[in-house]
Amino acid sequence: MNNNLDKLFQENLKNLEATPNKRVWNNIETKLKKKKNRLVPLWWFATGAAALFILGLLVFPISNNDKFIDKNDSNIITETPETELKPKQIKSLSKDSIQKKSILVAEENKILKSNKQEKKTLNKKEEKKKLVSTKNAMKKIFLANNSIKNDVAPALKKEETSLTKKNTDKPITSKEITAKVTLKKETKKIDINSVLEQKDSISFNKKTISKWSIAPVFAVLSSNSFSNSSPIDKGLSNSTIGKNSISYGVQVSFKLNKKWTIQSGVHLQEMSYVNNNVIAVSTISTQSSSISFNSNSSVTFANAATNQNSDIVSTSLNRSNLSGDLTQKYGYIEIPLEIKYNFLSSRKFNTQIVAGFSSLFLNKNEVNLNSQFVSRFGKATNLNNINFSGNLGFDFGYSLNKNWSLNLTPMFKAQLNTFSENSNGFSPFNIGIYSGIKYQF
Amino acid sequence: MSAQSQLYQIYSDKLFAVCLKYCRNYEDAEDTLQDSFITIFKKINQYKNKGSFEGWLKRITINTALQKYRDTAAIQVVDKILENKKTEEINFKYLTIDVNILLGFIQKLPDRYRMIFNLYVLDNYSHKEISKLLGISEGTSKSNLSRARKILKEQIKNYQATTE
Repeated sequence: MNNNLDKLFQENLKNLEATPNKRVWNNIETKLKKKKNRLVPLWWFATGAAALFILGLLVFPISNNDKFIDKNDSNIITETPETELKPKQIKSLSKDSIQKKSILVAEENKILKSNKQEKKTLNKKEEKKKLVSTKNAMKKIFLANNSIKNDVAPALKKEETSLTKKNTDKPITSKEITAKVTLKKETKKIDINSVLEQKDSISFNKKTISKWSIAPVFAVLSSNSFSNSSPIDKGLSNSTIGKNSISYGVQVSFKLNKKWTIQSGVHLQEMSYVNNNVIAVSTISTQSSSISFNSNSSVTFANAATNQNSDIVSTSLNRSNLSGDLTQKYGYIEIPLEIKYNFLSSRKFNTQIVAGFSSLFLNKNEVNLNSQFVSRFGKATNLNNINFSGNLGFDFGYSLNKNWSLNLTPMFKAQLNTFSENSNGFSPFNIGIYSGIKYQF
Repeated sequence: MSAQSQLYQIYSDKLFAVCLKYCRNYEDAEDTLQDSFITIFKKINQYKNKGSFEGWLKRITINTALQKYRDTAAIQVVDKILENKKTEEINFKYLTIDVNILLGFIQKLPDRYRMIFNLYVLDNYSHKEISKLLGISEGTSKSNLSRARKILKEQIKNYQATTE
C-alpha cells in the first residue's frame, strides 16, 4: 500500500524539471552585485589604515632625524652624494635594458617598470631630504643655544649605515613589491571568496549578520605616569599628579568573522598633570628648561613642599620668584587601529579583548603656572607632534536590539613617543573608561 | 557573472523542481531557489570534487528549503480528524494523476510532513539522517511520515471522487 503510494510520487516527480521565472535570476544578479559593492569598503578601510600607519612611520623618523643631523653638518654632505649617484646608475641600467629590447621584450618591460618605480621612490627621498635640510635650518635658529649631545656621533653612523643599506636593498625589494602587487590583485578575488565563506558559515544559521558598526564614544581618562618625575623640570620629581580628563570621538568597526573585529576611528584625547605648590625661579641659562612661557623668560622649578633642592630655594630668595600650581595639559587627535577578539558572548552580552595601537597627533599644548597673584601661560617644547600609544582593554557590550548596543570599555593606553628630549624619565599612560552606543548595519 | 549565469541556466530547472517539492507554494519556491543560488555562488569553492556536483547543489537547495520552514514546522498543528478516519483502498496500478496535481498535494502537506515525505520518499534520506537534519527524534520522523502518507492518500481519494 505504502509502496504503491511512494512509487506513484517517485515515478511522477523523479525527473521533474521546472523553469523558474526570469525575475529569480534578476534578483540573484542584483544581490550578487550588491555583495561585491559592499566588499569594496573593506579594502578601502584596510588600505586606509595601512596608509595611516605608514604615514605615521614616515613622519616619525624624520622628526627624529633632524634632531641628530642639525648638530653635525659634515655628515650630511657625505650622505647626499650617495643618493644622488643612485638615480644615475639606474638610468644607465635602464639604458642597458633598452638595448636588450630586441632580445627580451617581455622581461625588459618588467625591469623598466621597476626602474621607474625606483626612480620615483628615490626622487621622493631626495625631496624629503630637502625638506629635512630646510627644517634643519629652521631648527638651528631655534636651538642655537642648545648644547651638543655626546651621543650624536654614534647615532649618526647608525643612521648612515641604515640609509645605505636601504639604498642597496631597494632594487630587489621594489621588484619584489611589483611582483607582489600583481600577485595580490589575483589573490584579492580569492580573499573575497574566503571572506564570504567565513561569513557564510555563520549566516547559514542567522540569515543576516551586520558587519559594520559605528559608535559615538565618550571616555573619562585618568592620566598617569610610570614614574613620578616631571617632564617639565627635574626639580619637580615626586610631585606630579595625574588629573582626570576626557576623550570623545567616533569609533568604526568591521566584523571580520565570528571572533575577530577590527576597529578604528577618530578621538580627541586630553591629558593633564599638575604639580601643586611649586616655586618658579627665573634663570639666565635656557639649558634645563623644557617649557617656554609667552613672556619669553626661562624658569626652573622647585618643589616647595619637599625642599630637596635647597640651593635653588635659597637662590630663589634673592631672585624674583613665583609660587603656585603648575598645570600641564596636552591633547591629541587619536586615530586608533585595534583588533578585537570575541572570547565570551551570550545572546545579550558580549565580551571582547581589545589590542592595538593609536597614532596621536598633538593638537593642544599648554603649561599654566597659577600663583596667588599672577598666572603665566606657556607651552612645553619637548612634546613630539606625533606620538603613538599601545592599547589594551576589554570591551563589554550589551545589545539592546538587533542594531543597537551599549558598550563599556576600560582601556589602558601607554604612550611610546611623547617627549622628544629631556623628559626626566616621565612616561605617561592613561586608564580610560570608554562608553558608547553602537549602531550596527 | 557569465559563469554564474551559465551555472544557473544549467541547473535552475532541476533545482527549481526541488524547491517546488519542498516548499508550500510557487512564491516560496522562487525565494528558496534565489537564496540557494546565492549560497551556491558563495560556497562554490568549498566544493571539493567529492560526490557529484549536482548532488552538492541539490543538498544546498534542500538545506535552504528546510531552513525556511525550520521555525514554523514545529508549531503547525495537524488536523486530528484524519487519524480516526480509515482510508479506503485505492487502486494505484491504473492511477494516472497529473504531475502538477501531485505536486499540489505535496505542497499542501503541513511543513514538517512535507519535508519528511520529500526527504524519505523522494530523496532517499534515512530516518536517522532526517532526525539530524530537522532536529527531531527518529520516532517522530517515522510517525510524521505515516501521517503524511495518510493525508496524501486521502487527497488522492478525494481527487478521484471528483474526477470520476
